Amino acid sequence: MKGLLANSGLAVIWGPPKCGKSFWVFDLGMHIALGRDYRGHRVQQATVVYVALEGKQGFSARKEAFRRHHGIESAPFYLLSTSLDLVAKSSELIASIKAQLGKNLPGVLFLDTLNRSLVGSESKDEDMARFLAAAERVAQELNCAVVIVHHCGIDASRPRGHTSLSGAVESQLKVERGNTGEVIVTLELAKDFAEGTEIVSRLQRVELGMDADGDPITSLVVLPADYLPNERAITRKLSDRQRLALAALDECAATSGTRAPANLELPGLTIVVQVSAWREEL
Amino acid sequence: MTAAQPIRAEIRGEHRSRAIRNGAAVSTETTGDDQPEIRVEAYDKLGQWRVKLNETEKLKKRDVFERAAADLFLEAEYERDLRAVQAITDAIHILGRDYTGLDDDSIQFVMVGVRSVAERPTSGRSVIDEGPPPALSPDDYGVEADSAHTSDAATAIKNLPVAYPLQAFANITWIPVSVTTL
Repeated sequence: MKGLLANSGLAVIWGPPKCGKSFWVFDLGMHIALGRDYRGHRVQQATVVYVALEGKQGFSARKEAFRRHHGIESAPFYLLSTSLDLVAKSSELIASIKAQLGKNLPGVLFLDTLNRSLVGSESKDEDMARFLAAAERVAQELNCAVVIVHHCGIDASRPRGHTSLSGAVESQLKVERGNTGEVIVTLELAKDFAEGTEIVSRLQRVELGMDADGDPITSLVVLPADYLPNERAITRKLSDRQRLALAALDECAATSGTRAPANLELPGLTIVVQVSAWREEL
Repeated sequence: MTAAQPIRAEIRGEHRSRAIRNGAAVSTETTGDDQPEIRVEAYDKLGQWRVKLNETEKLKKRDVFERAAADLFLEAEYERDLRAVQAITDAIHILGRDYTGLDDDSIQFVMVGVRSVAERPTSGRSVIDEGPPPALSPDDYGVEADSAHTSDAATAIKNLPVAYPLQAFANITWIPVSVTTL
């Protein structure tokens, strides 16, 4: 996927729980399997293997929602939901995939999640080194990209666990939830692509049926959002000083504000105040 | 009943060697003089599934057998002795052959597929009380849904039990939770 994921080596997609990570990663995988461009990024079609070790129960509903919404009945997309200790079982995993897919080896293998496929500690350099070596071996043997889905820890600014993970990957994508529920994916680190690329999506509910109580059973599909990243709402709280300054501005506008002069080309009802008047009010 | 129950003689013997020959079973050094013992819970479940299969109409036997195999493989996970695991594996094979009427290939298919996807139910209820699972065919454990894949791959999955079976997109079936747990 040009500009986002390399077609070999390792990549990590990380974010806090319940941010829409797995929905987005599944959507990404389906686009790769179908060879469909993804939000302006050119996609090289490839067989996809998705190792779903977390949220297995919801996966079939997710697939059903995608199938219904996009009208897709078949795709070279394969689900593996067996428990996996990647370090100990990478050889068996490689052999199994080769035996089943023959010449159609995957172009990308998603590992959802790191935590569920690692027996050991994410924070220990030895364990993480073994895990990364196993993942790289899978990538080399299958000649594919291995995309590791991972959580963030208490420090929400980086992937959880040992920092060797970020150092070993070709690209690192962060997934977060926007203020209005959108899923925002940012390319944080990339060896071969421009960093900072953002993909904004929204989750749309799809009804799949009714349960025994007559309530709808639903899942979500990922769709492009009509959203401008640079207009993202500011979530940071104002400091006490800033709130005082804003209150002073309000007061000043109410008492000495005037209509904006035409040469400023502001909307017609905009009220302006002199900076000196604002200072006085402060 | 003691904590561990000697398993019935029929579980040992020829059936074990057949399961091993087809590659699905864990190896064991059990001999006729060294009777494997399985946990009493597994032993009881085995008996319950025999009764259940006997009572099931012919067309639904395979579905029930798949559920039985999944349930018994879970029981086998609690065994610490490889011989006990082997004994349960053999018992599943016998359930498929004598109580379900499947041929050896079909039994192996079910066992390999079910073993890999078996998960302990979280509801705490016995799966014996549940209805039959969704209809599965050998293809459900394999890769043949996509015509782009070669017949070599299909043959490979039929002949070799794989540790990590892949489920093709078309075979990822969605069944509402409420229906499966009724």
